[in-house]
Amino acid sequence: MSNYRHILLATDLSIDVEALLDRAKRLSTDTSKLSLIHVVRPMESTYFGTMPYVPVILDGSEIENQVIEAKKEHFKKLKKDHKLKDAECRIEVGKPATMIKEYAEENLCDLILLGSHGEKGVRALLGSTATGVLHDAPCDVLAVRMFN
Amino acid sequence: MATYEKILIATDLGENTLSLLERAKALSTSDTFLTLLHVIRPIETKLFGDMPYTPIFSTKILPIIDYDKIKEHVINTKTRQIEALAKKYDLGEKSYLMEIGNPKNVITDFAQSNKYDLIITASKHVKSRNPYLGSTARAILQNAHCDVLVVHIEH
Repeated sequence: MSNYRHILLATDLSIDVEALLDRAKRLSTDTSKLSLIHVVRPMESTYFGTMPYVPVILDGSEIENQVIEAKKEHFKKLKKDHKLKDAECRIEVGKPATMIKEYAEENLCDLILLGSHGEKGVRALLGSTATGVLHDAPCDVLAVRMFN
Repeated sequence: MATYEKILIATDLGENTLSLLERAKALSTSDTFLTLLHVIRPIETKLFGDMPYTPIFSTKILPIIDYDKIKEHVINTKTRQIEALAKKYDLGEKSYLMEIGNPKNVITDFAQSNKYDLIITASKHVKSRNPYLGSTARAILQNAHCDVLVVHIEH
């Protein structure tokens, strides 16, 4: 059986999470630990990046907090639905690939599980987090193929 | 609890093959079908690729190199290596094979046409100092129809 001790499941909280949890369950043993991580991209950069000429009317940090709260709720529901009592669910703000690798390194994870869209051409950019994590990852990475 | 039914191990036959095989063994049950695949790059492209400025049509150089012989030698050497590996890990007789072509497409095409559900590969050649993902691993990730496990190689 697999000998992974600490599995890190990196999710964008879309449909991918079901497939990833299924893999995680099959790969983990009684003793292995599971952690979930979701990375929120910083609100400011998204906001100002797309609308550079809008004056600052909105409080970016407040929206960001709301987003994080909403995602925490999502995680809670997920934990309940899948009976993941011991799993640590973490939400980080930053660049997804970097944050995932940092978390894996700090917590000595030995496998990162993530979804890969496998799109080609321009849409391949969607899978850039997967490729980003694979670059210089501190441990094994299992890319789970997502079918749309 | 079978995790994966058919696992394809894509290897460059380097030192990191051992890590890949150990990983594969850990993930497999007695019913799992394991295959070790090595793809040999066509010798011509390799030679000309390494020597872009060699006048390849020059009659002075070409006759000296007997490509068939080199190819035969390469295939023989690699067959011995892959056989030894398969034997060491008790993979059985029909569990390894070699293909000639570009690893980037051959591995994923082979996995798809033979319905493998996991490809195991290393992130880069062990001697490479490049901290980034190898181009073959990236191509596999991009083209594969199934799950891909990229095994981390310690340096």
